[in-house]
Amino acid sequence: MNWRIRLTWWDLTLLAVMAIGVVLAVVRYAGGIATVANINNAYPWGWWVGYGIMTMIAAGGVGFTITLLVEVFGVHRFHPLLRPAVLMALLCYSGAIIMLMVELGRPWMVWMILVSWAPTAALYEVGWCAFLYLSVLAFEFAQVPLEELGWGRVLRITRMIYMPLMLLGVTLSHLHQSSLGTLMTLIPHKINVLWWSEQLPLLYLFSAMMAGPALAILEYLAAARWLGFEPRMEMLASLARIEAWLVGLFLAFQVGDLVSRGAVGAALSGGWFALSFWVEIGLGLLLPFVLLILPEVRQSRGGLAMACALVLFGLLLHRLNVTVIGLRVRHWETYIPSLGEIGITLGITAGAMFVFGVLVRILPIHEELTPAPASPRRAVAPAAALRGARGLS
Amino acid sequence: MTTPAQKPKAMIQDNTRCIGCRACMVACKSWNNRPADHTDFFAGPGYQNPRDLDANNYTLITFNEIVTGAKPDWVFGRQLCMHCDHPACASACPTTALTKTALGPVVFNQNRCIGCRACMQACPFLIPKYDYENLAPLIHKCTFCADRVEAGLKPACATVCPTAAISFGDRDEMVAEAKRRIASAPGTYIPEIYGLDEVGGTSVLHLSSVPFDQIGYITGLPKTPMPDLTHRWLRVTPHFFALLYAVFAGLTWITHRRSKKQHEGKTA
Amino acid sequence: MTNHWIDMINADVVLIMGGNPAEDHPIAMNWLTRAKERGAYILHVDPRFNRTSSIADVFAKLRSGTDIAFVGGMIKYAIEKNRIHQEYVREYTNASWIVGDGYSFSDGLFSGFDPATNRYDRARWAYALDAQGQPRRDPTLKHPRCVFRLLEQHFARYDADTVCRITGTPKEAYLRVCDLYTSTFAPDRAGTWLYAMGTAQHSHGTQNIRSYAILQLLLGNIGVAGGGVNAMRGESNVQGSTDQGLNWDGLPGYLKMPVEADADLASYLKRVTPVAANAQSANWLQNTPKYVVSLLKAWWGEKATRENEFAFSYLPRLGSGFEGKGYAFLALTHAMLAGEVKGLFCFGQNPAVGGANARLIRSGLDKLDWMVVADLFEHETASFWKRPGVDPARIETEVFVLPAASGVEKEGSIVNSGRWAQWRHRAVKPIADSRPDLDIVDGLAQALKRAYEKDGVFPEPIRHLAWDYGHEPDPHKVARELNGRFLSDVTAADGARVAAGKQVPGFAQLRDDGSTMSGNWIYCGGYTEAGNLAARRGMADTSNGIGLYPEWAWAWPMNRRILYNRASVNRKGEPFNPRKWVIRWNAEKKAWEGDVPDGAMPPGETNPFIMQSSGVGHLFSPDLVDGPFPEHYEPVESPVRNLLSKIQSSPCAQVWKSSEFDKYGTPDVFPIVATTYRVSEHWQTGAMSRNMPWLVGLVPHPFVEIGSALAAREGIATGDRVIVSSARGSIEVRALVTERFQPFFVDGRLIDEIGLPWHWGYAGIVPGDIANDLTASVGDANSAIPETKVFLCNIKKKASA
Repeated sequence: MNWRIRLTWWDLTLLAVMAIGVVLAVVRYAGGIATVANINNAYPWGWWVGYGIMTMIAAGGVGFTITLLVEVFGVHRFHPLLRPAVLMALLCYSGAIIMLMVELGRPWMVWMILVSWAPTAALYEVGWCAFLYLSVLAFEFAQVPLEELGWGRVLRITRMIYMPLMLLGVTLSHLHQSSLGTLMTLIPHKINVLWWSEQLPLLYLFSAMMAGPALAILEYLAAARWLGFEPRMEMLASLARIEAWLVGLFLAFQVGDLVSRGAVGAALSGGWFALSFWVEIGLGLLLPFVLLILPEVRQSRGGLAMACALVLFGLLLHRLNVTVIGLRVRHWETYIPSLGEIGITLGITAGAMFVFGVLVRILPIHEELTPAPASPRRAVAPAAALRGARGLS
Repeated sequence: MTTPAQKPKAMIQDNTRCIGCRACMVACKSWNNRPADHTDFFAGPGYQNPRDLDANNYTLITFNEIVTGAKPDWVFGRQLCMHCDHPACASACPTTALTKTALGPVVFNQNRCIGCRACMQACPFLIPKYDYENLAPLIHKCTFCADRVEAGLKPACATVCPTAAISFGDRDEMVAEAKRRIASAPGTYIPEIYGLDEVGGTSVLHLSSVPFDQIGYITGLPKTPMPDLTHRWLRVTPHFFALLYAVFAGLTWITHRRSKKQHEGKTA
Repeated sequence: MTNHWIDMINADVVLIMGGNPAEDHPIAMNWLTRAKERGAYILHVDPRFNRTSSIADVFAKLRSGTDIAFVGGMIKYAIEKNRIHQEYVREYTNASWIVGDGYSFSDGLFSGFDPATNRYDRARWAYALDAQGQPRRDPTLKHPRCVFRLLEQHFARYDADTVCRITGTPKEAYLRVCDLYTSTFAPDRAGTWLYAMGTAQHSHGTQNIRSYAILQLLLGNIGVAGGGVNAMRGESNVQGSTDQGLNWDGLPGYLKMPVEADADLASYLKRVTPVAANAQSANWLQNTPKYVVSLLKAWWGEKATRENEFAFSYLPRLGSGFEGKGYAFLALTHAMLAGEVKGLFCFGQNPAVGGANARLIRSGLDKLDWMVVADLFEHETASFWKRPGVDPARIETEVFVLPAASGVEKEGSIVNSGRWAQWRHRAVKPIADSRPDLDIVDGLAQALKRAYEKDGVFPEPIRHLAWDYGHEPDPHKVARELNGRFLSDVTAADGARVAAGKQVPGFAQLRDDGSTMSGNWIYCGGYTEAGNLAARRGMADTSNGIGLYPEWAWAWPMNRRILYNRASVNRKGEPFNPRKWVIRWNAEKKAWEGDVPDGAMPPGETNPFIMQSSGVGHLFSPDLVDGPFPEHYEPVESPVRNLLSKIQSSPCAQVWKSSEFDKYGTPDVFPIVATTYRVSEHWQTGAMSRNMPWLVGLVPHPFVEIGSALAAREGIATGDRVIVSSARGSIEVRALVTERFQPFFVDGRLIDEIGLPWHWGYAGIVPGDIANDLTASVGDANSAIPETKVFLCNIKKKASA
């Protein structure tokens, strides 16, 4: 493990953003939520929930999606994406937890979820599942540093329970990703008809699945650029084709659901709601779908990056539309995220990116960068996934 | 402690008797120790102050001028927690900080609250409010004076209302009384009891002389309990879990065996 | 009230005029709600659709100051449609009495008017007398000079079209009110009439009330369950204060004050003791001497003897007052302004905000040498010397502010509008050194007595005061004294011997020979040997089930709940309405059942209105200074000419002109009618309620309610700051534009009217401009009550800085 890394200007920028976030968080704790945030009684959930929890957790779906692909469906050619995906998931969920600590009115009571029995509450399920899944992710990822540190005995134990844990992880992910949607089915009269649906749980699950490969591709391209390795474009193109299917199916699902609920009229009416809907569908689904089905795009770094970024944008907008923008309120009630809210979420995001950037430089996350097996301690043949060195392909 | 003889309670809010005096608002603040508001002139139509329920006002009288032709009318409505029989807020709370008690009130236990505000999102009547300025904020809403009700008293609002626009008693008696009033004076009341069937039934039954949407009420709510919507998904959670786990385990086994065979095949 | 609050549930029709009980007497709405449940109609007549109108069955809008036109039209309607309770009117009113030839009325003036003094010679309105000196009568009511015919003739001009042209009431609503209300003429239907400050605070306020009384008498609604002329008193214990003689011109129990011309007790008693007009009159006030002597004995005890005419000379005499206008509030404030008043005790009142022409009043306060304020908060009057715009260094008044205990911090009784004296116990001890008024007055009296012990001008009235309420003044001692006791052993009416020191069981036992004392004869019977009856809380009703609750507290007089209740039965003692009977004669037991009868004598010839020397209800009343019949006049400040006669406003109204603040506006400069009123959330001048944060949170700032049409013309939107001005001043308030206050179609054109709640001043949590800065020093001809309910104003949106 090479502890010594050089902090680039990007690292320093991230650190600065993190610092601002920390300061804002201190203000939040010292002065109350109202000192930094604009959320109010009409909009009890705003940017923090929409981005910091809903979207971050959905983005964390990269973990279970890639794990599903590689470990469950056995598509080993995507193996190089696995470790980064698990790490990203771990950081996304950690980030979401940190966001929660800021967002909750009484974060010091959060443990109360664990000692309660509230099976009718979607948030209860989300809380438990996220908590368990975070543990699973930590376990999954722990293999990497443990490998590097050469803690063989621990590693063996970890590897033994890896399989059931991995399965637990992907199962839990399905549960809580969909439960985030279940949460919003509770308020049909409060969410604009364009977004409320009885199928919200499935919509949320599928959008998280859709986001996974997009984030994985985006990260891979970024890592290739920043860490200086040659990206395997065929792998990416292959994944991009799968992603195209996912986006297309999701688009069909969402539009089909809209039509079956008789909400087409609302989509065609004027107004801000319709506008947001079309931006979400158009920029977030339709455009990336068109891009991804084009082979030229799939083989181009820039094209892929653009398409995947759009997908992630669409994910964010979808979550915001359901939870915040699409909320039906009285005409005098408004909400615009404050700079404080945005600052804290940027701080958390920057933190995740910073930690990710540091870890990928000191741990063998990207196979393209991993040196030849150097540690003599690896006496046991690698069991299932998360193998170091070059994976099978 | 409720004795077996105490039946679930309900309240009638008869807006045809309400004179908008707001003794209920003041009595509520008194009983719940809420601080005064710093208002500027009037916030809502007429004398309405504040504009909406908030962390310091658990009940609110709405002032509604309704003009028919040249004839004015002033109709008052009241907003307060409906103490639903199947409360969406209690269902959405991940720590069971909100519970429906046997006597009717939906009570809030601040010792369990984590401040996630799911109840605020969930409530179809937009009732729970938050004091965001507080360092240790809490959910604020009408408590139905649960402590008074337990002691056999009426809620503070029902006690002070000078015109008995607010009645309180056993739910079956209140329902019967509400129906009786409508039947005995059909020219006075519109034939609707707001809160009887909404979202599966509530503990506050409103009567009015004009359609409820004209006096600030949220209308068009479904008659089925809100928690049914999430319940239908959440109750299959264990099944979903078991099924998915089994499916994924099976798939993993299959694909690993295949790749192991390939691997063996290659290295063999 | 002739009746009481609970009695309203017995009404078939409730007419609320000049009052807004939903906002100003909200507890009363309980009874009105129950009346509605029983099928009663609620009719609300008011310039503005307010919270009372919201529960009324019929709302009829009325331009402020035109009540007599409205009710006069109802009188004409009743007479024309023969909706008269014939037997009642014939037997129990002076309808059949013949009026002498000296009376006439023409073009707005009654006979006997002297334009030099603005006074009537009321002797001109005397009845025609027969050989025995009794008023002549025509029981057939056909004689053209009988009261009934004169009444009919007087109100002949008040047809519905003319009335609606004056009042601006839509005719359909007006006729509906007439129809519904006069339906109570039937013996089995009763109508109750509720009114408050909107009726009284006019230059013809007393005549306003007279018009209600006339109509109620015609319909047979006085003395019956669910009837009556019922004033909703403006303060929670103003009934108590007038009962105890706190009015400037009265003694306790509504006894008249001596005047300078009363040389001695005998001539005073001769002047104030009415003589029965006829044999059928019980003329209860013939007992006045007993009450006066008992009062004197209460005040001066052993020092009041036969020899010194029971200390009659110790009583102050009413003079002609300031500028010959007495010492009612308007005169008092003008006297203060003229520097004629050295000192002022101001207890539980805030005239700097609550009085008419308030700028005049505040300037008057500047002239005082000293002022003692007893109140809960340092209100505008207490802090007049540091009010905005004055330099405290220039004001030489020495101000003492004595913190007073609130109603829950002291024991005693409060009398409600229904004459119920309800005893209250102390809930908490007064905070800090705040004290009950009793303690404060007791301390003052003791100090005065000590001072006058040494010397003083005419010291005897103070020195000889029988003043002992205990080392810590005990309200029970006061209450017992008000009831009164025997001062020597006497033989009671039933022959029994009563020892000295025993409480008098009722005022029928008071004597004029000095053997009894009673601080207030109408309270005699309330604190007897049986105890403090005002403290009772019995829940049993009488057998007639009309909500009398005779064991709950104690009503004066003698726990009679419905006054003049002998008018509810015929000459045989049979109730006109057996379903809701008040009293009835049980021939077997030879006793009355139900309420305490108003006159215990058996049924027969004695007439029911025992407090009138005539014994009957007065359709025609020579007792008021401005006319025996009410006549519509415009308010002193009015935008239109009087459509009924050439006399524009009440000729006997007290219109002050002597000070620089006495300015009057004309419609060309001030074209809008203004009125003042209250809201439920605040109380009077806000001295208490604007120190209550919860109440301030509900209604923080002063505002004016204006109709949407006027607002549109002036470019005013709700929330805008506007300047409302009158000839006497201008104030800045926020505007509330509403559909509930629309212009009146009067004599072919639209007259705008706006309204101002008057709760604000410069003290309290939230200050605001004082609405009474705009009202004028105009007093009612009979009572001198100020005409604060109608004046002329103008309104403009405040120009932004």
